[in-house]
Amino acid sequence: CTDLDLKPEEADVDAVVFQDPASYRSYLAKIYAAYTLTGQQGPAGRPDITIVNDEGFTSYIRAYWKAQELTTDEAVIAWSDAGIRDLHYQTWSSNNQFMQVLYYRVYYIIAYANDFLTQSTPSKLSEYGISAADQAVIEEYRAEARYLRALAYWHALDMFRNIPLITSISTDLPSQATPLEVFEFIETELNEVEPQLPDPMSNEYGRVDKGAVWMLQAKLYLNAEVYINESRYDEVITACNKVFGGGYSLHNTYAELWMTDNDELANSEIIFALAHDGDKIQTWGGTTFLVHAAIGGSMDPALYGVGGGWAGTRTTYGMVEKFGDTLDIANMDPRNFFYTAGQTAGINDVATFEDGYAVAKWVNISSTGEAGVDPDFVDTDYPVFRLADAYLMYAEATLRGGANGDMNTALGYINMIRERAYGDTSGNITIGEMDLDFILDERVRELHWEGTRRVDLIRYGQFSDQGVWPWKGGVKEGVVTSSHLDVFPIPASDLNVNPNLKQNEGY
Amino acid sequence: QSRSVTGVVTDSDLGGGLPGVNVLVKGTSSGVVTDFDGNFTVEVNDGAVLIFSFVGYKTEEVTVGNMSHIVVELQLDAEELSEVVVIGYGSVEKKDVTGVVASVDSKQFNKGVIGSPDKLLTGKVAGLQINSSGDPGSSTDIRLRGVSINGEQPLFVVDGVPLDKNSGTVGGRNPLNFMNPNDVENITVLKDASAAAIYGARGANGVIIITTKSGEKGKMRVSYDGFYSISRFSDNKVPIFDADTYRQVIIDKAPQEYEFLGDANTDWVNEVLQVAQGMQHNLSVSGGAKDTKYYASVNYLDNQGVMRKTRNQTTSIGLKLNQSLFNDNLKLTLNSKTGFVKDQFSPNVIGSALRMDPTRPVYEENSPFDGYFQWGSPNEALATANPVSEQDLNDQKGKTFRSLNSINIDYRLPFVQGLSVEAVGSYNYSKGEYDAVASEFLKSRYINERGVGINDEEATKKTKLLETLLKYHTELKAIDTRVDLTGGYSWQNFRQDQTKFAGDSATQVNGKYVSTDTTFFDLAPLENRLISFYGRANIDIKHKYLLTFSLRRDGSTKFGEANKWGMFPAGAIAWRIIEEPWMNWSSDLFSDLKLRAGYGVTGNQDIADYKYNTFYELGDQFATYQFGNEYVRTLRPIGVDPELKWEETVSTNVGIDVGFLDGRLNVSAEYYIKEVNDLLFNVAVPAGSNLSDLVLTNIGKVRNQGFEFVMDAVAVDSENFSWDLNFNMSTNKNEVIRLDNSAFDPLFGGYDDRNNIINGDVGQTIRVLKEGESIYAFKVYEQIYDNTGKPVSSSNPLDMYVDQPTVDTDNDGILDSGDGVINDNDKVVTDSPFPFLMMGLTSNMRYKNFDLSFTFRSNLGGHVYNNNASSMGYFDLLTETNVTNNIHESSYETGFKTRQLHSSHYIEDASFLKLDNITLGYTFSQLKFARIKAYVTAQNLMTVTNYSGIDPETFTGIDNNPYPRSTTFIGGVNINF
Repeated sequence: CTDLDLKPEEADVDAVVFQDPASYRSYLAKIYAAYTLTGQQGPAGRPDITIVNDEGFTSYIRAYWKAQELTTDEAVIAWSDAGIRDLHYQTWSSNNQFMQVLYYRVYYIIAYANDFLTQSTPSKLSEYGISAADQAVIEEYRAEARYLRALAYWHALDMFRNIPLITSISTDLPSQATPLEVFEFIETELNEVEPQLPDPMSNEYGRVDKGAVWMLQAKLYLNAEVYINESRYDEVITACNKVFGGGYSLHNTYAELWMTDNDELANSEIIFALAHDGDKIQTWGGTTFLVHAAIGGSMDPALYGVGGGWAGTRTTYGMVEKFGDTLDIANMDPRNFFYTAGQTAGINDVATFEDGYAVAKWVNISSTGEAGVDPDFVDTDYPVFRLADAYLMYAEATLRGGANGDMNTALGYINMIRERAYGDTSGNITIGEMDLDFILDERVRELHWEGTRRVDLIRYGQFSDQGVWPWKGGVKEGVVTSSHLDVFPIPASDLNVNPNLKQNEGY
Repeated sequence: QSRSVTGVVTDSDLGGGLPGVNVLVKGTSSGVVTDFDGNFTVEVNDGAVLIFSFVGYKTEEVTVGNMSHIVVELQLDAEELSEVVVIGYGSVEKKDVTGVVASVDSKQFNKGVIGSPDKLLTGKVAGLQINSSGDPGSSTDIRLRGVSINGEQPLFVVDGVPLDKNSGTVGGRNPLNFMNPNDVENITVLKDASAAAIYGARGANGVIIITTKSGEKGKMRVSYDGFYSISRFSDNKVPIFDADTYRQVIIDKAPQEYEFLGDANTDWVNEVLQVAQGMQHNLSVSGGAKDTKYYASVNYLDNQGVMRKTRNQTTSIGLKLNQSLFNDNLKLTLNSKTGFVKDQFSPNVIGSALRMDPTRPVYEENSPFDGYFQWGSPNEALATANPVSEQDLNDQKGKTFRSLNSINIDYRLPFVQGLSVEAVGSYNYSKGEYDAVASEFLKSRYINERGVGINDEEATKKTKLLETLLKYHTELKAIDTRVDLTGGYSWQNFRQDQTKFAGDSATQVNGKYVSTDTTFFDLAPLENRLISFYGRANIDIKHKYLLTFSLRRDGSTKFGEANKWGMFPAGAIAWRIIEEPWMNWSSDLFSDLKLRAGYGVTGNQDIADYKYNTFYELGDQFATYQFGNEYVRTLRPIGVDPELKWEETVSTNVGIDVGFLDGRLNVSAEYYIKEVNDLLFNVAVPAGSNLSDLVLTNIGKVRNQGFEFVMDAVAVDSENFSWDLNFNMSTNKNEVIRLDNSAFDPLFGGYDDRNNIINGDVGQTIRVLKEGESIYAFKVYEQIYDNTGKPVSSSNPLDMYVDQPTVDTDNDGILDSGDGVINDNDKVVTDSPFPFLMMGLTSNMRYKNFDLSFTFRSNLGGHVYNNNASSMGYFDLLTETNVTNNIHESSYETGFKTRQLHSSHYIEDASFLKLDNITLGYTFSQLKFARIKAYVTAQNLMTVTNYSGIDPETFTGIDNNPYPRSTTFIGGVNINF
């Protein structure tokens, strides 16, 4: 007897799996899930990424948020995981595990999307015996997969800049593309999938539609000067205008955007959200991280719908100042979620949770005060894009010379945001007050702790060699740093195995 | 004048008559054989001399004189007994061994509280490292001839049946606990590839062959062994502050907290430990008639751990039946070893006992946590939980049943002289259950209002084996050559099914907790199969030149079509110089002189199943993604290397065996090189080129090389006093030669050892795999010391740690300057955790009826990372997590304010000398009806080391709150009827 044919009982090869149309839906769900979950077992176990030690770290949103927030004035973290302090001190190296996670997550999603697109070509579908009706559905999935791949490429371009551009899985060593090539790839892909995706707010919850395309276009073009040294502000305004025509509206209560029922209440404003659920979508990353990490000191975790805090994230004085008189919390901009009892405004020791105000923006309670289904795993969804950001981008692009923008329209949008915040027109500004610096600060007030600050600071030239905030550069008062830090290093682990790659300058 | 003489031959060791002894009248060919009771009657002439001989015993000559009844006591011949050595699929005479084979028999085994057969060997075999924690019935980590990266455990073979030792057990501690160590007759370790290659794909880490006891012809023998033991934590050197000193520390370093301190004086470590008791009762019955031999045993071992609420209870039953038929031409062996094991577990609370504030009491009135003191306010969620409550409020039990059954048929074929056929069939079944109940008053459950928690697991494993082999022996007289040929086929199938569920808010129904809020976890069954063909030739030319060749072809389900089958050849030669005529001059000096050289290829397939093809697997119900109102289970491909194949270990060995003084002193020396080629490693693939960040592939190469020296000596051998000594020593040097297809970024810090996370922070590691370094060397910041020799403590890392060259200022490709920043790039790969030199010394002394034996063991040159010091040796910990915590005493030596997990300061020399075992016994030989031996044993009595922590001996080089080792005192008796 020489029979050596054994097969796993709960998995199979592509030729078998993809005969079932439901597999394509499950595979697409994986590409979405890969943006926040960490593996095939919730909350941990059977991880996707294994190059770093702690599976919880490998959540895309958790890593992305750290990269966009901890590197800026908006957040510090008390923990001492290897390399985490280097984010706020801007002393990261090419062996930094948080940079590694981002890089490998980006390419993980790209690889899955590439494989999904290979497995779902019309000829493959016919080969697998998929019916015409199912083929039409899968065609829509393909557009979404391409969108999710473009989104990952945008993150890669933004953070690592000089990156391989890969559109199919191959054992050939990938080689670096120019930023322009990557930029144009994203641009082309978005243009091609736009007509194929459902109209705004018409897809199933959790899936992307045209609105997500327009938001990503706006983001890409707004930062085009950074990426490819070219201003593309007209296209920002065009994309934003499409968003405005999409039927979205601001949700009336700002705080409810980060509550457990944001999927139902605020879905008119949230253009694309990553779904979380304390029971069925469990992770130690995602919003579970965002809620728990921000709770410590004298904060009562139950008030935020969780069993305990992780005593990690706070903000710096640099951000607090943007909200008004720091001695007069009560009269600050109402969009602040500062928790000050037992906390100091300044930070003597980054490792002490009580140093720096806590920010209780992300919570695991509903608009009616009910805690989420689980004290450990948070229900709140993560808004990737929302309407208020489009208003701010429109105003900024107009101020930066976008020819098709209108200053008064921009002012109107800004004041809509502020009226929602203040509940009345008391916070409204005049056209004279609306300059680029105001927009940058307003983005802090409106979008703080939503993972956009690093991109904004770099666009304004304030991230490294200009701009100072507490503990930047590892010094309490803060110092300016080298401009090469605007781009993250390619992880040494990839340079080590791929001689085609060249490290980003300065590392 | 011929007359009749009667007599009886007895066994000097066991008393009792010895059947089957040849009684020969010297100078004649006439003689008789003793009957079942050892009696004989023989016709002799006056002045005759009788020669009594029996295999395994020293031959005696007795002059009859005028005696009419002769009583002869035959002495066991230790040398004779060890003459036959078990090798894979057969045995050879010791003098004919060509490979490196260490054989340890029951007399040399470790004594004391030993739950599984593997622990019998600790310290006994050169190059074999056996490590177990202090947990009762704990599992062992075994390493033979150096270190590798994948599955280092050797293959276990019990009476011809390969066992799956590696895969973990649900509900139990050590999968070998089902086997009664008292049933073991002999353990043979095949160390080099020339010997182990007959086990092909599983031989890379050596083979440990366990032979169990069989009955012997003669009267029924009944034997009882029993002991009672007491164990306590082996060291009082717990490096934390007692309550009074702690109060001073608080005044010194955190005076603002002083007023909040409690008024208790609690020794938390003492609170979680206990003085443990143990006992064993072992009863065996054996005997045999002409064609039938039987052996049966029952053993009960009850062993508490020094950590409260830990216990291991094993009942095992061993049976073996040998039946000869058709004039010994057909031999049948039935073998069954069954164990019922009950384990009680405790969460490892040593870490929290070290850290818990000693001014707080264990219990507190009106505490909502069921009366236990607890840091329980909402902002104290991260504070340490009361370790005593963690022990008391967790009920974790395991139950395993394992049964190994085999039948062996050996048939000497009648039509061809020297040809026999053997068949082995075996069924190995195990079932493990784990059953845990967590009280609703546990801190983590109480604050999350989760109610009583239940957690149940069950695993069933079935291994089926079928082997057939042919053996042929022939002698070519013309060229004075003997040839033994063996060829066989083997089929082995392994399957495991597992279920697991957990629930909250459980309630008690009929004494058992049930939960309506239960979650079932999907656990895929595991199944793999190995099919093999093998052959071996042993050739003996003129008793001088010995040749062995073997070849095994293994097929495994773990690999893809192109690589399912692997070939493992081996060869060895030995030259018995002592047999050369020109060596005759030396017969007074040497009793043996043999040179050996061997080469072989063995494999390792100890990896997960199905890693050769891109399988798409569904995620579980907690890792879904929401599409509208549907929670869609996700489908993920697994990135693989379709070319995946075996790891191959190529090893070369040269050795020499020398016997002196008529065999009273035997010395062996070996030199070996072991290279793992095509090492299976989860290597980083170029991002985007595969479906995963790391892919398991055959890429690495590691090398182990070393020297081994073994000495056996009979120092004294007289009637009243005898003294045997065994000394073994081995060196090993290991190196990672290659790990990936690297372009080698000089800044690349290596691959972190993700399997051994250190304490003190989430997901931190200290060991690394890097080319050119020792396997799993430590990777640390190089600590700067001030001129008093104290480590510098500063808020600026540049003052504390060397800023390693990470910048190439003159563009010559060499990093020559620091970058003014201390970050991950400044960690350097330093010392190896593994000892360079390991030694073991066993002594057995007998003086009249007293015997004394002991085993010393020493490791030199390894390093240990003092993780207790690094994770707790800093002053900020005093007030971390919003409460007061105890800290490690080393904080006053280092002055560290903040945690410095990766300082080179915490890497210490791990050299040690241990007295593993010492036994004093007395034998009551006067008794007629029985032979009684009483003994006292102390296990782990003494450790000599410079290491500042509790125990320098770790398998990984990381000292992080392992289960505390205990010192055990045993009083026992052994009765043979």
